Amino acid sequence: MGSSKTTPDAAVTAEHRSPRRLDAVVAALVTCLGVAAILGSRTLGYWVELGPGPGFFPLWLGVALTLLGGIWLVMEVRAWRSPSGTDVAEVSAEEATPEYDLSTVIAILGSLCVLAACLEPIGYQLSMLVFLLYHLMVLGRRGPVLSIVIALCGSFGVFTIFTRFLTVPLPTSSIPFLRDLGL
Amino acid sequence: MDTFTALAEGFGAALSPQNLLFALIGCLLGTILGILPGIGSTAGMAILIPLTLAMDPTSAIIMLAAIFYGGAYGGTITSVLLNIPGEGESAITCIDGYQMTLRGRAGVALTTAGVGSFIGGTIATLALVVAAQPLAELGLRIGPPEFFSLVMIGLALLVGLVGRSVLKGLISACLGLLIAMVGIDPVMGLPRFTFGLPHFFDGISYVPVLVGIFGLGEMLATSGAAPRPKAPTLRELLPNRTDVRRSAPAIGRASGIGTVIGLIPGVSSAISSLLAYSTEKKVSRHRDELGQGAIEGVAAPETANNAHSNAAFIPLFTLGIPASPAIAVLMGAFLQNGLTPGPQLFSSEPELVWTIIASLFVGNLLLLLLNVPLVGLWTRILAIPYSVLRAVIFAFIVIGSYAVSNSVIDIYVMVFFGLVGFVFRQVGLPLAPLVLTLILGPFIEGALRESLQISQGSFAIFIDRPLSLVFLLVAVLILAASLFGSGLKRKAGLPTDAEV
Repeated sequence: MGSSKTTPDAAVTAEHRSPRRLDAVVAALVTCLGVAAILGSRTLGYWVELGPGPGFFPLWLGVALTLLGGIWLVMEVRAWRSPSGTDVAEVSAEEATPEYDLSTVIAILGSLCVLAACLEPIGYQLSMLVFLLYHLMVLGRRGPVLSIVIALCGSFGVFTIFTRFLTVPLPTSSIPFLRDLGL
Repeated sequence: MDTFTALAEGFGAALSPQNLLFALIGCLLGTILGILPGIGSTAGMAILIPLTLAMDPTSAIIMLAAIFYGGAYGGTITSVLLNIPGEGESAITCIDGYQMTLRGRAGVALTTAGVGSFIGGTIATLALVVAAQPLAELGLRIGPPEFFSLVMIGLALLVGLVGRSVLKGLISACLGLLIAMVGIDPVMGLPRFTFGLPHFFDGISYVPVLVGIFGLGEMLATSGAAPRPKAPTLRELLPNRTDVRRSAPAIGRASGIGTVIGLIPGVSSAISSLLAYSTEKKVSRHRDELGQGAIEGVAAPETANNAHSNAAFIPLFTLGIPASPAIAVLMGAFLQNGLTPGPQLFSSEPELVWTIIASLFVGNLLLLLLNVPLVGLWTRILAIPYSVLRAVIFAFIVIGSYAVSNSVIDIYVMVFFGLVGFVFRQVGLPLAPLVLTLILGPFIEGALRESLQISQGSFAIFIDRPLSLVFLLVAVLILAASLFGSGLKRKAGLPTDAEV
């Protein structure tokens, strides 16, 4: 599902995707999660001297998730195989999903993971500066002056406000050279 | 000294220039902190407690209390404008509030939320003055079985809330409960589903989860287009006569719900918001519009959560029991300032207690006077180009997630739940049940296990105790009515309630 192009025309809409396939995959994941919860709860203890053990609630939750996920999976598979296809087409306005662009989704998730990975080695200020410049100039196609000003405010400015005035600690670099520079 | 004389003296002290100034600063700071996604009023109060240690205790508590309800309003602003709830209680407001923003009615939503919050907060504070003692005695009768049964009412209402697909609503609720199971088991002290990471011993913090599934999830789901509507003009900020006529009954009902539920220690204000919203779905003349930008969908939860927040002071003042995490932080501020909340505070520090109670009235009024005229300023956020706004939001959601426990793991948690929120939107799984059971999960499990410990494993305890039985019967009736109503609607070919 989805599209990897970045043009507005390539944005994926509810009409262009096949929701049942993803629904079936998610239903199967829910069922697997339920089974995992049941298996995980068995090592925790169902009942102890004090009453219900740590595994009591997760076990019943696992059973519920397995049953509900299984029912959903069966419904999706049956609807998928339905020759008339009426079930597939019946997507109400309430269930219509907003537009998204798969390449932008991947870029956002990837950049956030890279940012999280860089925060402790090179510190908040440099990591956030590069992150914001990427989002403003590359993804947002904003001009360099505006991008640099916003990126400096969002990185160095925000760091100063949070660490000095709000006493919220933000990470500084673990590399001695950068740390000595106050980064 | 009778109650009203004491309250009059409290007003005298609360309206002193110094206390008025601190209430104003608290309202402003709280609103700004509430706007920052992931920080909210609870974290905001916790951050600012050290700053109040050098202050006069009364002024310190007045300022922190103002931060508390100012933060709740700030959370409303981000819920309505950006679909990012600052706190769990604002999650319900996202549903219709954000839809109103997409329709260019953000100003009306924020003004209605401000007025509703003021009315709900004032009614709850009046309840605190008039009926604190007898109502606190009723709260004392709520044991673990009654608490569990009361939460069952909330869960039964969830079924009504999720409307068309009960199956998907239940799956979402179970997933929320499962996430809430992560951490050290409170009774046995064993780690559960922590993947061997000490970071998860305290459980998965709901702030990165909320920020992920609502904030990041929404930005991912709309990444193919710039969905920001235009900033409203001044005329568009004011509710019209229809808005006032439609929101007034919702505000009235929600004030009562929030005030009563707020008395019960341990019940989150998210429950009050949920009950108020669900009530509107059952009784409102425009219930079919809920979920699609109905004014009642903003008025009811916002009124209820502010009424709840103010009513939650009753168990704190009369029993010394914090009714919510935010009130627990406030209780910490009392203790830091050498004051122990509880019944003895009325006799040992009557002036302080009544000044703080009077300041709740003053603070609610200040919040209204401050925020309704500033709605235009808040909605100017919409005039900022979306790519710029998105980059700034990313910076704040990263900080908000990191600041919870100063760990990058929470940023990964936020990113993961952003993906979960994105997938939920694609397959039509509702988000609200997951969020609400995530927050209430530990309380639900705790009450169930404590009840079974008391009864030595017998589930009969839930029907042997009259109050618990009544709550359970109400839950069953709500469930039956929701399922029956939904079935009837389908047979008649009428639209069912909107998905969350």
